[in-house]
Amino acid sequence: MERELITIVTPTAPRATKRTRLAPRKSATLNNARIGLLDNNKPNADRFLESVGALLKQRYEGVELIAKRKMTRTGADGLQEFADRCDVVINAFAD
Amino acid sequence: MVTDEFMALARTESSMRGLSQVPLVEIPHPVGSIALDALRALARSALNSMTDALTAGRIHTNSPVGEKEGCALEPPTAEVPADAALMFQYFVNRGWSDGLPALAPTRAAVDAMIASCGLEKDAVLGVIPPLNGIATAEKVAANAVMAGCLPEYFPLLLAAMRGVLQPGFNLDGVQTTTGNVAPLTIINGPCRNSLQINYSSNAMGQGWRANATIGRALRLVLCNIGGATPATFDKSTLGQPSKYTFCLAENEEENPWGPLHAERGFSADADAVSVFGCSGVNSAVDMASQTAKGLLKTFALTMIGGFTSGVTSTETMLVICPEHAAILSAGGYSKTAIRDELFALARVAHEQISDENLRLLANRRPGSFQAGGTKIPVIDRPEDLWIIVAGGKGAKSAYIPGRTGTHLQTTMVANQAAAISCRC
Repeated sequence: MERELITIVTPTAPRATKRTRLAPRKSATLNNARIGLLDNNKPNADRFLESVGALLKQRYEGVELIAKRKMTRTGADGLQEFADRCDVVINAFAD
Repeated sequence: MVTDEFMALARTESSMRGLSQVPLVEIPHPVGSIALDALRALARSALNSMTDALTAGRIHTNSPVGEKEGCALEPPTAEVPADAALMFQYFVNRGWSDGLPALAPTRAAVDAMIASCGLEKDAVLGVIPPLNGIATAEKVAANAVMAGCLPEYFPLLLAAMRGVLQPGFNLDGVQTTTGNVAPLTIINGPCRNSLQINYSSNAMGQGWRANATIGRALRLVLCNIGGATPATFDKSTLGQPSKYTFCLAENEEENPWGPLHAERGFSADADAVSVFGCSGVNSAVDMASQTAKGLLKTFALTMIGGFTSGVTSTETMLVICPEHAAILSAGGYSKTAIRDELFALARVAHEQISDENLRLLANRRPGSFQAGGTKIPVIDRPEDLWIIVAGGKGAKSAYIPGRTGTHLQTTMVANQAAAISCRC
């Protein structure tokens, strides 16, 4: 026996997406770079980024480390100003 | 820097922001609970990938990327089995279900839902993270039908949606956190009685269509339109039952202080909906205390118990039952006086907190570490405690911790809800 079908409105929706470009990398090396370390305030994120920063300082000359902590995933204060002060940023995401 | 457990979420979020090529360096989960030596080893292992991602010549940065705007994952309609059990299984198979049976969002049912608010079906109410689903009146209505809402509830659901879409609610975080946060919807105003929304006995429990289906509809919207699929994008470690549905009204008739929406600046005669990021319900039982002072000691103990749910500062909520409210009011306590006293009383001694968490708290709540202090307050400020009155007979109130970075939002219920402009 053929099963009866009915038409429904699907409960899912199209997605809104953006089209943007990655920021150009300024240099082929991190010598003399201002490197931002963006801590998402999860446990150990600060220690992990400190370790990364120490390793980068060993590997490259004239590195300046700029650390920042943010409380939430979005809408953190001063992110643009932080980005302006850095040549590159390493961002900790999630747990 | 992303741990492997969160890579799918990170890739999707990058893509939704038009940066699907943003370099993500993967490290093994977890990071938070491992020793310093292991952390350093992790940093060493990821160093080359990181430096490649940060320097020129290793990645392409000149071509715009991202999906075409408004790309649809599903056709706008579908043919599904008419048989209820088969339809339920169809919804489960498509990932459209919260695990419970749902009604069929037929064209007629969806149109009746939309008609209750006067919106065009294509009116855009907002964009819901993490997948940035475009919430049109029609798609929200489809979810409301599935949840079992009556059309009269639809304006309340739309008000709740406006609330969770306010930046201060931080829906991005609520949808994807490892925490157990769920939106708690609180209804105020005359509609509580006309729509039979429970604010009395068992107001947080089962048995009332409006409470059950309004809360459930919001959850279905967040999952089906927002894409908060459990485990993939909704990363909650345990979740909580409130994630199925959590909606109640305030017992304004037995509130000696005035209702929440009036405190939030709306007319007491207006219908309003508040949304709060709820991290679990702690029962505040006190059948013996006969004075306000005694009762507040009990509330403070409950708040201290709830402190374990977060080494962060959050907004919190006290749901005071009418009998407790009467004792506090007879003792001369206003909401402000209750807040001030609980801020002072609900404190945890440093020695009761682990060294690691104390270190975390010092980072996250530096203001709460006063010079020479030996205790930390459960809340940062008295005004971080919201107070509502709900429930029936009995001496059982409830304390509900919130979520970091999520703030209570209150919106008025509009019959002719204004569409929120959407920039895609």
